[in-house]
Amino acid sequence: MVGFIPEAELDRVLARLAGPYRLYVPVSCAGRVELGEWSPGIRPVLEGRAYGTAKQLFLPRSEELFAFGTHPDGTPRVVQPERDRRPLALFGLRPCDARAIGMLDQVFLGQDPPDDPYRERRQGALLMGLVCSRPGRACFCAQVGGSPAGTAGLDLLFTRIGGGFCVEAVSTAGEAHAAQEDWPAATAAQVAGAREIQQAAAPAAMATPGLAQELEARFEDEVWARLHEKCLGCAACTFFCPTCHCFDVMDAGSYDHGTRLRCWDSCMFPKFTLHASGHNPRLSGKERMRQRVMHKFCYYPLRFGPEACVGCGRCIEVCPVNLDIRAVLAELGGSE
Amino acid sequence: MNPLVPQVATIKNIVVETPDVRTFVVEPDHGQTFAYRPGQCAMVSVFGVGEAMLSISSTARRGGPLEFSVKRVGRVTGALHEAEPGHRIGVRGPYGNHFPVEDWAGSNLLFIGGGIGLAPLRALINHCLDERRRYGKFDIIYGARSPQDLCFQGELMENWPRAEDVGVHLTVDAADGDWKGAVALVPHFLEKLGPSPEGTTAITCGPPIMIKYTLASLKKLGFSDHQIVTTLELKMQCGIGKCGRCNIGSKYVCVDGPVFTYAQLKELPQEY
Repeated sequence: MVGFIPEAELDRVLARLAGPYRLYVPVSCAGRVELGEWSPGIRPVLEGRAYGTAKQLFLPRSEELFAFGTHPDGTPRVVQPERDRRPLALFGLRPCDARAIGMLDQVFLGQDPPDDPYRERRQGALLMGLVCSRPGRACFCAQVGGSPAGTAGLDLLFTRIGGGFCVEAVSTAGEAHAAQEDWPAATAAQVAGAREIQQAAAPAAMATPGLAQELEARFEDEVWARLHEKCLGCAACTFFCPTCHCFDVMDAGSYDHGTRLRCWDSCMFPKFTLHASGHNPRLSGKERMRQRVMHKFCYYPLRFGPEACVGCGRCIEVCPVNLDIRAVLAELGGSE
Repeated sequence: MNPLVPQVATIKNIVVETPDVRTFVVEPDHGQTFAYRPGQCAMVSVFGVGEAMLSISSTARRGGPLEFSVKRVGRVTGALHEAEPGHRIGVRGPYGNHFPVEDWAGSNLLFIGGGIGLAPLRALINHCLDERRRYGKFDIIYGARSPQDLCFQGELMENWPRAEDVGVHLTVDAADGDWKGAVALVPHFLEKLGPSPEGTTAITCGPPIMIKYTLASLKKLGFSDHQIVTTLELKMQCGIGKCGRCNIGSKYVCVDGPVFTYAQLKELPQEY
């Protein structure tokens, strides 16, 4: 069943979620769209997509894994932090970003042992997507197997039509939530309007089957020496990527009083793979660029299936030297 | 339970092996030491300094405490070398696969170690010695920079040579006055000894440059890719296939390794 929420009702729908959930919506922040915690009076931005990714809600830029210190008798103690146990709810999530969360799930939950802090945040999270009616200049989700109206990773799909939103449950959790909310059914005309928007938004998918195998054979290709040349190694592409998930683990403080932190890290940094001995298997920008591209389009697919790129285009938008992953793929003989 | 949170453990004893290698004997403060197999690793924490992935040099079936034989190289290993018995550290693991000893029944075993690479081999050699009858002849080839850099001298000079049908062959890169043994790099020494590949499995651990040339020497001696087993080490932060830094192609050394046959290694990109 397709429900209908009039635009004027949205505020009340969000308010009901905000109690049991930690609710995040796209908000306007210093001229940009960012995901922010909803509170009464906040109007979600329904155009464009957030500048930052939703991954930081599940894998924060920096988080405390535990605190350490000593008991009065000198023996050490390790204390794990208390977290807000309310599940997350995300409204206005773009289908590409929802799909990326599914890819992170493979890494953090799909292989043993699961990552506990990630699982705590992910468990019970309600992901409410919003169909994209207008692609951005760097969007290319359809070229990597996604769609502006895709439902992968989502619980509820919202399609904005004149006067409100058509809402469809696209997961078991979404169905349970829809049943509880009991939204009035959309009229046939409203459903038809939503379908039209969804279809117009979704161009023919142009995923590139066999790219992973093809790339695997091109590890030593001379193209890598050329591709990385203008890259500065700033790692903005990886920090803004919704599927990049590399992290560092480090201690702050001292033996008597400190914390162990997990922070985002990037394969684009020279120290990422530096051994204590001084040996570094990825010595230059060439190896690091190859690692980033190969991880997304070869290594991750060989391990988990889909390509670890959802075509959100953030890496293209934030790159200070206009390195365009679409052009890189074209050069490698993948999708254009 | 967060898999990145270590067990608190106490350093019970420290054995000075060489000027820059010490063996740390470690027992958890609460509960049991985890079960492990030869070749597996563990993350060792020095609180306030950080964590490092270390291979376990003790043998689980001997029932004793965990042992880590550690060369002083970086920040964490440097801090460990400063520690004294009684110091509390963190331990989590075990991580990675293990040496496929179950495939080696009836086979001669040729162990080739260099420097601190003898640490994981020691766990393996002692494991195999305890089921000596399952295998054929043992040969242990071990080299270090100088005589004083030979690790586990008690085992090298006493225990292992005395065991049934075990040959121990030592070499150093540079001798001092008292050294009567061979002076050669491990790959050259190996070629000179010329062990037959017939019915033999070769297991080699050591610094990357030694492994590279040892693999070539083994090929020269006629060993097939499946008869050669080695271990890889890469920078690691999590040990559970998530932090994303120890991959070689689509394999993660922390979960798919550290033990690989040469045949498996050849399938991977040359980036380690």
